[in-house]
Amino acid sequence: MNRVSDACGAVVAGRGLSKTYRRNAEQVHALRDVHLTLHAGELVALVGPSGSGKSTLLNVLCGWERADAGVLTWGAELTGRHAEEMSWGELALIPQALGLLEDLTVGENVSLPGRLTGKGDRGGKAARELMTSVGIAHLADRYPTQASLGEQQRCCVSRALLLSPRIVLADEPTAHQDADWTEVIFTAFRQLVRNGSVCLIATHNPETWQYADRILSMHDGELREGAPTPAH
Amino acid sequence: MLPPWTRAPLLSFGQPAVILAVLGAAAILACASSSAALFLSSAASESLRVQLAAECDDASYPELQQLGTSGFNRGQEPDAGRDERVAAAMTGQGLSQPYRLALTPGTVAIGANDQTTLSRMFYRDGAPDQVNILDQVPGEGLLLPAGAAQRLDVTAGDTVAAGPASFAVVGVYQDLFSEQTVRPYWCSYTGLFLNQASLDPPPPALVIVTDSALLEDLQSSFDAGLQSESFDRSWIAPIDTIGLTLSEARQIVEQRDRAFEQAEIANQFGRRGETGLLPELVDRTTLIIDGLRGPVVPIALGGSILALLLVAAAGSYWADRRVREVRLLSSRGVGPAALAGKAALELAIPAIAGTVLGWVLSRWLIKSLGPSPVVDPSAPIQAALTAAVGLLIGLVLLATVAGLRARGSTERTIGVKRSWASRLPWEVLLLVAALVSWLQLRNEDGVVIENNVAQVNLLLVSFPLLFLAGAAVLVVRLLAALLPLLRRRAGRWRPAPYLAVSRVAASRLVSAGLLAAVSMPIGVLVYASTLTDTTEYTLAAKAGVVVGSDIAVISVDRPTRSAAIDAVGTIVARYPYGSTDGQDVTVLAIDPETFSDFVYWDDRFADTSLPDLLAALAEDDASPGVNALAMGLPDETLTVTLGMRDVEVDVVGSADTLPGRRATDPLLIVSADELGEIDRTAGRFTEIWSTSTEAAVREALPEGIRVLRVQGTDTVFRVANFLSVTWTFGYLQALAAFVGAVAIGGLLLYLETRQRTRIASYALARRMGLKPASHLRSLVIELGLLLGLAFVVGAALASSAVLLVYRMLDIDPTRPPGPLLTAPVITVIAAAAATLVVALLTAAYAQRAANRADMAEVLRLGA
Repeated sequence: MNRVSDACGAVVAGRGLSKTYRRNAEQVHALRDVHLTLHAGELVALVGPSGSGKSTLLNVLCGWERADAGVLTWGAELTGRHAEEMSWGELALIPQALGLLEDLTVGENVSLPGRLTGKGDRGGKAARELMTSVGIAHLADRYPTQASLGEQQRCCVSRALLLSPRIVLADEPTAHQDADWTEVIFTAFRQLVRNGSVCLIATHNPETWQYADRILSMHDGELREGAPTPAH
Repeated sequence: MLPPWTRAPLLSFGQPAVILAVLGAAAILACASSSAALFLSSAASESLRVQLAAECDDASYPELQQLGTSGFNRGQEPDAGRDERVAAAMTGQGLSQPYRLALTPGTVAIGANDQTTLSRMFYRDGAPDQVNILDQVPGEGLLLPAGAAQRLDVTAGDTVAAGPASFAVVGVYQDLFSEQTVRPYWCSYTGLFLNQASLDPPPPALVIVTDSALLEDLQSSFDAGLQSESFDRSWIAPIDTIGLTLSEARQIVEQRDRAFEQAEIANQFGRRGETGLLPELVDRTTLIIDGLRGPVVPIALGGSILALLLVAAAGSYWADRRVREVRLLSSRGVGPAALAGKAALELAIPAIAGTVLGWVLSRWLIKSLGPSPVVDPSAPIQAALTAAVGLLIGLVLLATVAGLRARGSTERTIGVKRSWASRLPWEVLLLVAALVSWLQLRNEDGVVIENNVAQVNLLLVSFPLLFLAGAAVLVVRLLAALLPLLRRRAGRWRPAPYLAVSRVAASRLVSAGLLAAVSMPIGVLVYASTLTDTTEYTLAAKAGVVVGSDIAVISVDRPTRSAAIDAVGTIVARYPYGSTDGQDVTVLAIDPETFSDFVYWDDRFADTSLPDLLAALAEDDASPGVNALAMGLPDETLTVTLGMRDVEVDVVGSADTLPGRRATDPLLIVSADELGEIDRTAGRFTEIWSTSTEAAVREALPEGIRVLRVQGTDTVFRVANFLSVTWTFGYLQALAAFVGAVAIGGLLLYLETRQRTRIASYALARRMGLKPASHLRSLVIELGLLLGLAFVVGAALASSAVLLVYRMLDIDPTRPPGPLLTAPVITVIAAAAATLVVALLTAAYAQRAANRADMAEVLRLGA
């Protein structure tokens, strides 16, 4: 069993999370007895090679997949809640597939959470500031497909940060960014966690690890504290 | 390892959605391509049925006839074996055992007790059983009608002279004209005993010969006497006319002709003796179908081309669903031709299955909805061959598109700059072609009458199709230009309309394509059903105007108004031989109090309403003239001569069409009371115009009032002559429904293709706070907006096309009224309801797919 952190004061804590897929005759162990705790004010990097189980862990945390075994508990004001019931202001996502609405402009995509919840800056002030900070303000009136993949990704990050969520789960949020924009994005994450939020960032890019407060590494469904060892 | 050509056909089974798409597209293509042959054959069967139904049952039976021209056979030995020879010839050709008929073509004098009367001698197997015998003795001889027996003062057991010889009167029967209804047996011979034309003298007595053996004796007596009358002899083979197809009818005609050659029955001057109405019905049906083929084949071709678009879309869909594999193959150097071959192999089985399904479907549709469920045995084979050709073309197209799409060479994403060619308004070319069609149509008749058979001018079909296609695309292009404006406005709306409008506006090309694709079938449907309803209503109006009401019971006696008659109809005195200023005019003297209750009337007949016209008729003015309503006469005082009397007439109202007009002369309607008594020399018929049945009117008539004849709206026209007009538009409606199916198929493919990105968006939007109900509402608004707008555009354009052409669609210009525009209310409501249902179902389908999707999988693989 890999003990990762103390659960006291945690925003979320997972105990003994396991998840197995069946791929034809083969059994794939995406998560093996994973223990995980995320604290407020933390920026945590979840690292590991492709297929190590990073996305599965994020999916279990955000409620899109259920663990076969184990317990997931939410702390503080989220106690007793299920992830799938949480609002964008509580739990925001940056999926690998981005999930931008192709029929809305970049600006509209960023401000959509505010519009749908009736909260936040419906006039778009916060959205404009966010877009300016990640360098996509000039693309506000374009459709996502009229922007580059990197710009789309920054749009996705801005959308996630719009309502200053308590938790951000991000799957490879800088996969299409160069070093400068990667720094900008992590700076934005850093600003968020300073206000008591927590960010769990799945990434396989070692250059991004420097921005994290903590590194959790995954390999073959197992989670360990710290950067992956050379054997992994 | 299996070779690819054996493995590939099985690969598609792993993609049920692709199988369904190809199966559906191939079925629709087969349905379109095979329907023409089946429809034409079905129309031919129905045309025959309608024509047969208008005739007596035996009128169409194949008949061999030996004409009894006076003196031709004189001195010849009787042809003893004739009946057996003819029967053998007919049955030998496959016809049924014939029955015999003999009739003197002219009159024969018969006499007894120093009295003579004219008669027609009639023999038909079983005839004595088909009359009401009043008096009878045993034996064979002649049956006399009661009227003739009375005139000759004979009873059963007496004899009458027919020529030098006398013949036994074995019975007296009730005159057939005095029976309440004509028995079906006598249907073809009513002219022998009913005086329908009111001729003077009435038809001679119909003397029935009870035994065919007597015919020779009678003939000998005719030959020996001064009368050189000979019997016309016929042999008639009954056929089953129910479900008779055109080819079967042709075969029967050929059998009859061959039987005549074999029967060796001589006619004077070598005249042919094959008769019966069937050849005429076959010829008319052939003419009707030839007229129908003109518009039907291009419509079927147009439908097939549209279906091919859906097949192409299915090929594109295959490429979308197999994108990973084909990209991999592409990257390894597999060319588009090989990819097309792969697609063809993979999709061949569902395409063939779809074609068979479409063929079965078209047979079922024609059987259920076609003019007749009966088709020629060769029609399904011809339909199958056409469907097979469609399948081959479809497979080639499907494979080509799949190959090209697989390479990505035809992929277009939002945001890619459109080429200059796509910006050109190509649809203007269609509109120019439509304009040329319309201009040409103005110089031609919309309906061409050939040998009394109406045929739709092909331009009446090509014009709307070109106009609707061109105008729909143009209007949609203009509407699409307004979408950004709508989108800006939607920015302030609630989430559901905001998302819906955003989706419509963002995919402008797709939205416009859908809008045009849906508005086309709506337009064609509205156009075709309006012209069908207009044609049918106008035809009914013309018949109603001729009769005056549903039926007119006509008498030369003068029934007067009674409570019983008031309950069933209104009395109209017709004076058909009036004149004014040297011009013939028909005068109808009516009862203004009951006239409006029973008369056939459409408010478009006159600028003034019927009650106002009748009020004007009854108005008591200072003028001594009789108030009259006129059709085809000026609004002034006229002097009308009726018999010996000159009647001063004040025209107080006029109409374009007045009911009861049967001749081309002008018509005047006056109040019977105001007109007063007109002498008998005027020539008068008294008619009961009624909306009840003939029996009800007869029941209401006082005793002693004789009915001359009954005219009903169903007997005014030979309906079969106009069938091709309504069928042409009926087929056009079928095309519209079919194009609608293509559009729905396209809509589903569109939704299915965009499903993955939509689901990803929906998954994230739900996390952001979008409620499922809001999402469903947004889908309903999106699809409702597109389909609703398409409905409005299609209906509006169709209405414009109808207004341009409906006046040209007068199928009988000699009879008023002209075309009366009739809105197809039920069809429009049904189409609107269908549009709404499609919008709701497709929205529910998209919502269900989004709800059931595995979000983790979608977001991992998407984008």
